[in-house]
Amino acid sequence: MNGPEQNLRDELRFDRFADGALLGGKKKGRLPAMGWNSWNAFGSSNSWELTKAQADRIKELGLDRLGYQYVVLDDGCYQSARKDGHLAAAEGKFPEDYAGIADYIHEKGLKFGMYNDIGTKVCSGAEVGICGHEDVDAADYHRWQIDYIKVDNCYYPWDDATFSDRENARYTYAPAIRGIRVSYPEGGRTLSAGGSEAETVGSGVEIRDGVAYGIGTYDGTGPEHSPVGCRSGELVFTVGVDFDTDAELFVDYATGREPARGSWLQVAVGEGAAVRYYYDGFLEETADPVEEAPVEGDPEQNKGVPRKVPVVFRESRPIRISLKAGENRIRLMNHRRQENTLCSYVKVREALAKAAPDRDIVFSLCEWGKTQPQNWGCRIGDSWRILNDITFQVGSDTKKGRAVWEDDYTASITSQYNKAVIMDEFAGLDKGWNDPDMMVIGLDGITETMARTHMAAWCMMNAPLMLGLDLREVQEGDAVFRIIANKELISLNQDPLGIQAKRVFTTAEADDPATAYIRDNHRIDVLAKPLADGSIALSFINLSMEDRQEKISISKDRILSSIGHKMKDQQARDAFENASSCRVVDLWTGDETTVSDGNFSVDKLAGCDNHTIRIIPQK
Amino acid sequence: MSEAQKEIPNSLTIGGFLELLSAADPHAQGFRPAFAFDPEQTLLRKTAARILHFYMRDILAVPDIPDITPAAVLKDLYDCRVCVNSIAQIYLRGIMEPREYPGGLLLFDGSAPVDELLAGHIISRTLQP
Repeated sequence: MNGPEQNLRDELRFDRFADGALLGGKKKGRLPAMGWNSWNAFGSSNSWELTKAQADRIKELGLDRLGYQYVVLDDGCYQSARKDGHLAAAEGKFPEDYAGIADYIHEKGLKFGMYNDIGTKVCSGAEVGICGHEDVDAADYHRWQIDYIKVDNCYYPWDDATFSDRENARYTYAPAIRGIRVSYPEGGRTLSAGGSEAETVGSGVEIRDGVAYGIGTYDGTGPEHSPVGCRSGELVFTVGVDFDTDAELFVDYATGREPARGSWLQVAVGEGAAVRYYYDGFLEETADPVEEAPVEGDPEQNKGVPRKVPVVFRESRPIRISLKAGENRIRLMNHRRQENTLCSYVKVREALAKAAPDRDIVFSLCEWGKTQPQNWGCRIGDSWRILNDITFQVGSDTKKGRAVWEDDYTASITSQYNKAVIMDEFAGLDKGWNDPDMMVIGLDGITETMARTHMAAWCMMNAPLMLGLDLREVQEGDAVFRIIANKELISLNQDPLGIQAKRVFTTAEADDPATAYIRDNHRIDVLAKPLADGSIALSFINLSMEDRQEKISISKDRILSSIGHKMKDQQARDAFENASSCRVVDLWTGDETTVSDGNFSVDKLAGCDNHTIRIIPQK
Repeated sequence: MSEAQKEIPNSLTIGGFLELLSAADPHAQGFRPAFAFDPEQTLLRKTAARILHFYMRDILAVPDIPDITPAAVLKDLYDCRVCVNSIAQIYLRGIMEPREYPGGLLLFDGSAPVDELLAGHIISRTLQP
């Protein structure tokens, strides 16, 4: 592996993320995928016997008729290494050729999904990552007639992703920068990072003692940061000249191999369509940024602990740039975390498109929110994971997996919900879907009430509905079945208008409930979602594990002001606004009521419960 | 060269570890954890945790400790997404201890190799009733 793509196509650049151009043959208009994925149920222990049983149960339970059509083999389906350069089925667990598995699943009228990883290995450690094998693997996937592929991000060679070398942070952050010197025939300027001609743009850049750190993109794998707003930061110097001139730029920098101080710098002048790139690569290292610690106690025990070393600055070799008469914005940046990852996913999708140009393959990005895929995923993916996993306690053939309602990290229903619920503006039929991970309904630790709310929230948020339980445990008509087979809820998720619900109210303090990132679960949220037939879905969700007795009421005006512009058309909006009354259907009980005063309310909610309704305006 | 292929003195291979486990417990003869591995690769701490956890779960029928949140004191717990539960189970049962770094930082150090001495200790602890 020599390094990331040196000469990035312009369409893969950060400045182009917002233009909406699709890559790799991606199609618009796909609704969230529905199906079953092996990971939460069986983890690495999955086998053909188990998968076959799930496909059989999908048919027997009639789940396919409700939309659950993809049967996806997650990690654990390959041998530990390639066989003659090709992916090979895990011995003893799967038949030798996946074509037979695909045939079985297709003969049932279902669709077949598989798994890989843009790194050198898949997450379980098998050395079968797709990196560098895109064409070979795409041909095999075509032969296996896949309809869906989930692509992970472990062992990624150019970022400090899971299992990757932590020093790969050198690719994804710019060096610490103390200033620049610009020299041109008519004169020159020396500017410092802490000076008035410098500014930080975006987020994450910090000026400490006159030095800029954190030029790069936030790691979004954990739940710490909001996904809303610019998650990358640049250091920008404004340099005015009286006439067009060529110049030499010298950067005063110190490299590193850690988050917030790396070694890769991008230099550009201007923005958007007018941007011109002048440098995109490593700067010469200034010193070994990390040394092994002086040992206290057992040297073996303390091996590898980094200690701070003095930051040594140096001036870069000259970087030739062109300045235009007037003010020039010289951007020092590193957007490679996003650009490299996008580039790797594009290679996979392009290889699949080349191998199987007529095959409709769902492309599920699973880089866990690390590189802020809400900014670029819509160009290549049909959905993108937004966080690390919803559970780490996956099941096996003999033991159910386990999940929880709340957790400080990502491994809970509410951790995923809290982030996804403010990401509606990133999703849509012309983009793709935020993916708060496969569902944990049916796992230990999840009560019936939690499962109902989990289902309602995922349906309201247009999340992919990938079941993660052992369907052999489900019987038609039992509690789990009634939840996952709730046609009314599924119809919200699969509504052809394709709008993710917006949070229109929360009992938590928030300037704007639609975008405030709230991780304290002691609250009730209200989500509203316009539907294709002119009706509105409304969900009151108690995030707290405690019962709440207060009355929450949402007016028609609030709904209209929040999502009126997203309704199907002006006629639908007018019909709702001018309705003399509304028919209200409880989507869990089927009970119907009439609301004439334009206020939709709930008097109390049990802990973790929801009240989800469809509002149908009456003339 | 991958981390698992580096030459490490006294390190053990995955296959060697499975042999030690088999020698210590007849029930382990023929046991293979249900994940892909190369028996010739150096045994890393995270792989040892996975093998022992799968062994306890699938052969000894030891139920998982349901609440693994106390294991979040290990600051690198989530570094290995497929090993999180195994590391947590093995740590919470006292089978493998964390490494304490200056400042009280506790790490599991999943990518560090396991030598024969440590392998013997952790197998012994796993098999203790």
